[in-house]
Amino acid sequence: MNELLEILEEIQPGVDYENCTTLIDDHILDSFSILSLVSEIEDAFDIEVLPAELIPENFNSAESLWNMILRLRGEA
Amino acid sequence: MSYHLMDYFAFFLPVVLIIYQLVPQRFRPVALLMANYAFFYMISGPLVVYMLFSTIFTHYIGLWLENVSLTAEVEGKALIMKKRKVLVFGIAISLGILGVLKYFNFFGQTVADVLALFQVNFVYEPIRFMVPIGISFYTLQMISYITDVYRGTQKAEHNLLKIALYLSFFPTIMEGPICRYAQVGEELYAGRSITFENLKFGYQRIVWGLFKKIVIADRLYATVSHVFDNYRDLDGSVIAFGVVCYTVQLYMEFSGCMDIIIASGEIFGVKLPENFRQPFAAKDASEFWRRWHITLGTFFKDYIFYSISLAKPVKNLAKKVKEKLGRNVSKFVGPTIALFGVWSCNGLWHGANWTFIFYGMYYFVLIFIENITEEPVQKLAQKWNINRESSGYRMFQAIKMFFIINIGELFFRANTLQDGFAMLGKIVTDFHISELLGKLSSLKMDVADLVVVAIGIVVVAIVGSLHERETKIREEIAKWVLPVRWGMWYAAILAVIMLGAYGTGYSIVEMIYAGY
Repeated sequence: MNELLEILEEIQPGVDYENCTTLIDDHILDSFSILSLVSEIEDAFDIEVLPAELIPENFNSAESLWNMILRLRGEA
Repeated sequence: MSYHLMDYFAFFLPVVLIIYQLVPQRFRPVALLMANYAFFYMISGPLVVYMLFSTIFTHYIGLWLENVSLTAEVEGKALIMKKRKVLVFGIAISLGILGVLKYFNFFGQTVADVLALFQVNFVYEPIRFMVPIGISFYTLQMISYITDVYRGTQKAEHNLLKIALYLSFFPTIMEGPICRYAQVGEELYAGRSITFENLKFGYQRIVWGLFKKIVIADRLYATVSHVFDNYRDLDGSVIAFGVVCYTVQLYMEFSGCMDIIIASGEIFGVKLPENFRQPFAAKDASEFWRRWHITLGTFFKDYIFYSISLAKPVKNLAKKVKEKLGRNVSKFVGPTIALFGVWSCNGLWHGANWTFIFYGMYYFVLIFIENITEEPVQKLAQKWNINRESSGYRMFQAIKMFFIINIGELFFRANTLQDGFAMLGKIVTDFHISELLGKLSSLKMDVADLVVVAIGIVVVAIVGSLHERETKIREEIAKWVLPVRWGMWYAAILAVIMLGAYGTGYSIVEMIYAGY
């Protein structure tokens, strides 16, 4: 989870990622940031994110992102 | 039949509502479907067979995809590949029909033009295709449903009637909004009773839509046509005035019709997605497209932008760029390629004309520039202590967007691409404001027209700013005391009846987006 928070901070600094649950709904992460994020987490966690995963439910918070990563790694 | 004509809101819609309400709930979906097909038939006649085929085909592809998932003896990537073949087949047929009907002549003529450059004599004889109403809109709905089933975000629908209602709902067939099955599929089939609340709020919004369309947009039609058809004889200032009038006309017309459409859905208890959110309040071109024709933008984002960005070859290219040039450059590779795809499609979707393709490329370049300059601009603003939230900076953004939007609409409306450049050239090099003031009377517009349009724009701007503050206007008005409330609605209805641009001296103006 810490590694994910570091990636998020690098892509879009200055956001309270541990508590924010509206990263997409409030346009904190735009399409470009989402794609940068996908590229980084694919490399960092050795997963493949398909277009079907790019839904607000998966990207609205660090926790939902982490749950998606665990699921794609087969750990959830 | 058009949504802004009496035929629709005073006859067709009420008749359908009465029949719908009278039949037992379990038969209402069938009654609604019959209304949908009657509406389609009244506009496109026997071309209704296209809708029939599209419905059966979409239903079948959904079931096929489900069947592949359930019966495949493989899993993982092999299963995805199997499903992808079905998806590609489904999209190819859907787009193939649209492509032949809308773009065949355009590409035929383009081939002839290219061959002519190489001295090859090839004369293309255009074929006259009969194009069913709304094909550009319902084809995108077909693709969204098929793709969602492929991606697993939507279950395949077994009930053919539900798919039929989804693709043919009469309020949306001519101009959208482009709905997702998950948004409206079940509501359309529910057959809910029409409530007084929905009927009241629905018709209130229809009056508002008519105000925007008939009172403001249609009053500008003659001026806009005159300027775009005769720009060679006009001063740059007059052309600029005509372009601004067109931007206002397009917005009032499209958003006004959208009010009527969404209100019609509301009466049936169907919540259609909004298509506009105060687009002129946008700070940049990207935001403008999150506020203008929203459902088209989200369609392209979800089904083209992300698909291209996450495609293997694009990801591999981005990785290679990252190794050589670093992350600051590589992060733009995927999105830029995807943006190019999105804006090519956006331009082409509007029609087979180079003006639309240019319009798409115009926004591609603008949004690309915005993306790569965002960080440097932010750093410069910090260095120079510029507050990007200050009213001065907001004013600068508003002026910038005024030019961006109007130049875009100039090319969007121009009769040809050459005409667009010639008009822009005249605005830049031959602009004399005194010419405009002296020529207003010859612009198919009198002082009364100007005053009505100006007041109309102010009213729409006030309502827009209330919406921006998330005020629920109809609910607020409903709390007013009865005489004031009724006085307000009577005034609105009278404004449409008395100030509407119809009758002697005006011709019926067809809906612009119904032609796309």
